[in-house]
Amino acid sequence: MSYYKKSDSFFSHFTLIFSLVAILGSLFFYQFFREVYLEYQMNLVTESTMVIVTEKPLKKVPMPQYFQSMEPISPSQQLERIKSQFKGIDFSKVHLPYFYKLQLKGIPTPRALLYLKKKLLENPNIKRVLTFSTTQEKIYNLLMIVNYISTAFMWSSLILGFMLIVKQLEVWKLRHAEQIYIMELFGAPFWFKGATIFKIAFLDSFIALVIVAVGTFLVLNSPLIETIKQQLGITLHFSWLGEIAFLALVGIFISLATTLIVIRSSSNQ
Amino acid sequence: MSLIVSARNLTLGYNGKAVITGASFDIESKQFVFLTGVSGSGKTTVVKSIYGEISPIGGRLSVGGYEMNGINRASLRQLRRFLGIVFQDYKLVPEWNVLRNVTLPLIIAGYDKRSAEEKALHYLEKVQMADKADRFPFELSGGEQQRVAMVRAIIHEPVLLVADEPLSGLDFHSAQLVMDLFQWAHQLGITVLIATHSIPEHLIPGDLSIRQLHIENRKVNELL
Repeated sequence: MSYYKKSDSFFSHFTLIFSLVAILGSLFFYQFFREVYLEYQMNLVTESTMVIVTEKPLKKVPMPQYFQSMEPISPSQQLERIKSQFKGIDFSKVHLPYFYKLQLKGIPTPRALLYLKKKLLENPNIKRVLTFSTTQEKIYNLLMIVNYISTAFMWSSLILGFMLIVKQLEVWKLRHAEQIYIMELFGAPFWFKGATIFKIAFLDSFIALVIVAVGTFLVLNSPLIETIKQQLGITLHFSWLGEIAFLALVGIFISLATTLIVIRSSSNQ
Repeated sequence: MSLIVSARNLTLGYNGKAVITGASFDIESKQFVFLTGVSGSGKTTVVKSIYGEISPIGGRLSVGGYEMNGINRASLRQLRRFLGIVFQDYKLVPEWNVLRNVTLPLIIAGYDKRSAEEKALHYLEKVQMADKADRFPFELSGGEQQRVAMVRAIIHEPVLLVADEPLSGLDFHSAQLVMDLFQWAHQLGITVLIATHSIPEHLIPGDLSIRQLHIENRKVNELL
């Protein structure tokens, strides 16, 4: 036997499901792009080095605020190569400079790189400074833009989603005010008054979560994402399941919060 | 007999403006009381104060042992579980069918769904509404809605049944059925208080002992 009137059921669910899909989906992709960005940044930091050539050996890292480590480069291989090409020359009398690989602490902008180069050359012991390739910089800048866009998208989705939920709450307040009032007249406890609304909100959150879970699973396992990962040369430590579990908690929180708001604002007691 | 309602020098009103002043009356257990008065005399105000919709602005009011002056939420919830309330406009939950509406007080009282439904169907049979248990309020006539509201008000066997103009707008047949239900509730040992503009004497059997409290000029007086 049907307990409830079924009219308007689709529309009463649609707004909340749509808002939740927007919120949960944007949260998921924000986290995903952030992971890609951080992973690539980490790779780039490891590869961000500068090579300096000095006349005398260096004992400590120059400009330690910018460089985290210094590694001497052995000139023996180059020397062997030269020896094989120029036989008959006494290389014991040739004075070779010292080579060092400096590991940067972060990823500098092209301007910062020029600044570092200039500062290093101010040291009379440093004769030459070699900077790394700028190809990766371009990818990094692109990723940074994508990260900014995904952050902006997440915030706009959150704001829009919450605005829609607030609108839906107004509808629910009007729709359930009489029901809650009647329950109060018969001494219904708080949880009882909220049960119907919580069931609706929870069901909507679950539907939204399933939509987001299926959607993100398909996107993450698409050939396009695989290609991007290969192109960037990164291995993601991003757990789809962990992220969905987090989104489930967010969904439950939103369900509870919406229920509490409707009951509190409709309650006359 | 124990006191169910006790009012002493009671003043009731809205926004500080008194509608009832200096009212003192008692309603004892198992009494059948009519609260009469012309429209706007303050009958609904008295009824509302009994189920805690409004608080006294002066004097003292006690219902079922609960002091209504500044009653807290938890106590009000407890009190309302021992009351049955019938409204002129029925106040059935429009989104729920008849069965769900009728089982509401039982579910709140802790009945499981199955036994609540069994009891509800038994009561609905008594008012010839069992065959309409799956209907929604908008599918019922005014008389049918009031019978459903009556069943909801007495199904949990409250200590006090309070009704505000329960016969208003009902045809003779429906009014008779509703009055029969009040008498049935009374026979079950429930104290009855009906607020109405006049006593429907043509619907009351001669052997029913009734009391009448009448409101006039903001005062509540004993008439019978």
